[in-house]
Amino acid sequence: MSRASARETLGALLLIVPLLAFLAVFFLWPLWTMVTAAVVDDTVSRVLPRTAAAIVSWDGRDLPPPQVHEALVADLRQANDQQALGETVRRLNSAVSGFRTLLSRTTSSARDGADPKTIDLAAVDPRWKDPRYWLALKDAVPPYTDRNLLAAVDMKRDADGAVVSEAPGASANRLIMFRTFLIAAIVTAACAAIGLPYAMLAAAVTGWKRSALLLAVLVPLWTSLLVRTTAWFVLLQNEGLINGALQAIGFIDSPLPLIFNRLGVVIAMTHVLLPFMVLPIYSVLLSVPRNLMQAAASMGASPLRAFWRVLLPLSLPGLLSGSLLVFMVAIGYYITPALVGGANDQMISSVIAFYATGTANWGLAGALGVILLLVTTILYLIYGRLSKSPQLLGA
Amino acid sequence: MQPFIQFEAVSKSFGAHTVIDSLDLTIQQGEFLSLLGPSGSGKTTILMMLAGFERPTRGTITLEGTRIDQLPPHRREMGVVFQNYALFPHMTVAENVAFPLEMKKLPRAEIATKVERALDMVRLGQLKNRRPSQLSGGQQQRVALTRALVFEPRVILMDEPLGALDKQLREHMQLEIRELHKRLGLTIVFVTHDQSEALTMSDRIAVFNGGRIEQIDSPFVIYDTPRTRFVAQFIGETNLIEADVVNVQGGRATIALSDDLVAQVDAAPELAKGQKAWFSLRPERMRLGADPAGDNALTMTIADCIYHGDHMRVQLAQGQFTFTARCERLAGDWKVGAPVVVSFDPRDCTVLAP
Repeated sequence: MSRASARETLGALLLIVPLLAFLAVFFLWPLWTMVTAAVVDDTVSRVLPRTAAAIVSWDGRDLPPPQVHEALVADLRQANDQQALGETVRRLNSAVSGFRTLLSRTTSSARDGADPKTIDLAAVDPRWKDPRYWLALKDAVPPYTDRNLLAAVDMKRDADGAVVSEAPGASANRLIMFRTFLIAAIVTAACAAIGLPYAMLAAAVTGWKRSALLLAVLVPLWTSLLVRTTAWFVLLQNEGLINGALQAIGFIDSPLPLIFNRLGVVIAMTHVLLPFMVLPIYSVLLSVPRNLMQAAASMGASPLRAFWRVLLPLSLPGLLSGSLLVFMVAIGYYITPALVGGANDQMISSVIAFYATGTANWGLAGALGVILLLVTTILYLIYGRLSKSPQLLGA
Repeated sequence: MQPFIQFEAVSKSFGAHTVIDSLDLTIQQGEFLSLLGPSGSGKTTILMMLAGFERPTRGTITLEGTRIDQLPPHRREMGVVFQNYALFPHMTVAENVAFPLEMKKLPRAEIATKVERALDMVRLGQLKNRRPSQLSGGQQQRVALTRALVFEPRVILMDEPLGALDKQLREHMQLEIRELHKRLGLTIVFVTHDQSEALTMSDRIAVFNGGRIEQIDSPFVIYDTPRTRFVAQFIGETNLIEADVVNVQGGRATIALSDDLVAQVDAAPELAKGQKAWFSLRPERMRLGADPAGDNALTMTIADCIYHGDHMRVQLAQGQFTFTARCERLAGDWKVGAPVVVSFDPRDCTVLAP
């Protein structure tokens, strides 16, 4: 490369370094953290290294040999980082509850006693005679685990290590994931039903009418979430404008439940996501020459047949892109369903938020996030292929 | 030939702007009629109203005695060829051509045969599974033409269909369309702004200007006897000079272009002495060099000689006037600055009302 073009390239790179740095810090790094949180499980091997090393050689039957007991006591004596120890306790507790009290008692005994070899763990706490606790300890030693990913889809490993489903009622992740896809699909269908004729109208008119139509569909997107939410409350609640009007004209006797249920969620999400459907269809329709419909008419096609055979097939690529886009955005929705929905309308993002900020179960939050990321990435790749394919656009 | 399509007192306004004002037009069955004129002269509007894409504001359009101006376009049974071809991009060539037959609900086997035959007629058989985007401009044009012909409509309307093609292809397509017209005996209404195209292809030409028809005649009559100044200038080339009618006597008029230039012309009945008129003489009707038999012999000076390959154009100056004459190429004969006698036949010039 010549010096001049090398300098140009360097200059171009320097210009995008701030953006790359921003993306790296605030996007790539959190993503990486989330993925690793889902699969990394190294608290025990970090905080109780000797125990980890010793327990590996135990075959898991009966109780572990005395070396393991000694190693555990030695580790607990030396564990000074309270936060790390707390993490370990939480981790073990999530496998078998009771570890919190067990370990705190064992730790104080370990610190009091003189010689580690002389401490009898069974005497400190009878639970140490239960193999379950030792098995949980052994299970927590490997640095990588699939328990979070399994739990994210309501599965676990049983005592033999086989993958089984969780007991019904114990975990609702699959149900909520399914519900998320269902709501996103309903919203996509609603956006398509409203957006397709809307986009066709916008493409057919010109001048200020067209600008007005496009603006009308974009404004909800640009409006603040709180303003939108307030507007929905005002419109949809039992004493709201819609119910009030319907009752005033005598259409209904008692108010219709329009909010804090599935209907409210679908209405609110469709309202916001409509531009993602309208704009792709609209831009595809703009590239359709006006006299295609005239040509169809001249050849004997009634307006309905011309629509069905010419305009609709040509707008299909836009409809497809719009649908993918709406679906991808909808499955990540969190606040809107939380504000306008009922208890049965919470989507997967609120579950992730619960595990992340509520119970600090970063492993499960990460695992759910990984699944969501996977689905979105697959959809995005499909979207990318479709929008690059000129064949579909009839170009 | 009996009247086939009739426009009676048709007017078309877009809002406050009137494009066509009370126009009458009769189209004969089986004729090739060109609507010729500059952009905005209303010729495309007439075609659109005939096809049904626009409705006349006033007046009626009839086809074989039946009123059609209120019929929707899909019931008029007219084939239309657009300037940008309007082929369906999501269908193959064969599907495009089959479309009008499907709209007529013909059986599938019959559609296949007709499409095959139609495409073979324009030599596009091997392209039938291609998409329009994979064809050249000329091929797309032929598909559009085939599509408009395949369902055997009564009338074919063409809106400047050859405008997007290069010169050679355009001339080739002009001949092909003419050939199709003669072979199939169709009625064709052809909109164009290219006067040489109209002269080549038409049985009659309707010259449009400002929403009105200035003259409608066969190409010969339009070229040799233009009736208005606009037609004289729009069709072919002409030398157009304002003149005074000095004398009218026995079928001949004497007109004075200036004090020095006086010409004898065949008098049109409406010419009167003392009138102002426009004198029109086509470049190819001017003969350079003395012609003792000619009634008109004017002396002019050669201003410039322009070589055009198969002919020469000689710019002649006389006083404040400039004439352009078209001559056979005679190398070296015409020297710039030399005087020359220019003669022309009185029957070859046209005197037009101001």
